[in-house]
Amino acid sequence: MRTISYAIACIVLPALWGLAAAWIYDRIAARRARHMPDEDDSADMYHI
Amino acid sequence: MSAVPDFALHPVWWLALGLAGLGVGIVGGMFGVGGNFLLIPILNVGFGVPISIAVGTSLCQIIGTGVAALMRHQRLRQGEIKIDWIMLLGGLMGASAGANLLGTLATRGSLDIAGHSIPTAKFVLAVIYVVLLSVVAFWMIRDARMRPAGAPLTSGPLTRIALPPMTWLPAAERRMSVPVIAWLGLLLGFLSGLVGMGGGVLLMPILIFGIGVRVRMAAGTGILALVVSAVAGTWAHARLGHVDLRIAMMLLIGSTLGAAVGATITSRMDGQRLRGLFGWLVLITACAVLWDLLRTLRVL
Repeated sequence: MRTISYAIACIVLPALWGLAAAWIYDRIAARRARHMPDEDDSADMYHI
Repeated sequence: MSAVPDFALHPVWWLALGLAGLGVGIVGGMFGVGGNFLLIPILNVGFGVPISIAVGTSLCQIIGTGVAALMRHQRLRQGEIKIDWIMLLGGLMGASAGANLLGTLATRGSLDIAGHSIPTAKFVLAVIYVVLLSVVAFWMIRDARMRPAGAPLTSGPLTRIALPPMTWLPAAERRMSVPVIAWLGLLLGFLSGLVGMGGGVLLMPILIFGIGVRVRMAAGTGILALVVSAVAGTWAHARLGHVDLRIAMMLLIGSTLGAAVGATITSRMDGQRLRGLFGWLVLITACAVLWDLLRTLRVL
């Protein structure tokens, strides 16, 4: 049986990583849109 | 119970794990799925991780990919959010129930089948995997052959169940029964907690073929409910000792990079061909799980 703090870490750490990944990807997409405005950014990167 | 087998103390094992995450991420990015249907067999069969820990750890990893997907789709305003909210409570309850059932199976020791011993949890999960993945593969391959890219979908059979109360789904342009959506959430949550999958490989076909939602809308639908199910399942599995956070984070790092690569590959491919490829990939995975099961039972 694992502790509650470990269970919380198992949820919070991946979630934080996901938020960071989404933020980085959006920054990259925004930069690409500035340099190549005609490119379609509606392509899905992540979905489950 | 340690997730990491004795031979896995070498750094190369962890590197291989990261590469496995990268590969699953590429597949996930190409086909728009989380990849747990692939990841769990890879962890269990390829890396020797016990099945209950493979499921719990994969669910933990999917929280990361799910949150990223949620942020992305919310920004693009894709998806029918009403389906997410209706599925939410069922997903929470189902995931906890599924995780606890797996925990119970994991304590049941082994089954004796035809004179050979196999862990109960592994046997039950393998059978569920093979059946579910085979059905999904059949529908995907059949759809890819019969419906060219861009061809419209008709209203699915689930929309014909007129169990009140009914609700209008604006993004899907369909009326649907609220209890049917709620039960779907419960079922998918249960499967998520029990076998670790339920996202792209199950929900997407249900949305597309069962309801008739357009693919781009389906890709953004249900993510909130699935993330909540993954959180509930991870909580239950973590408390049972079924989550190895080190493995989960290593996989997440690899899959994050892989998903970006996969999405780039997809943008250059025809939709019909993608659907067919995905169907074949799911079928190959089902065969691999079946092969491992038969090998364990000494049939092969």
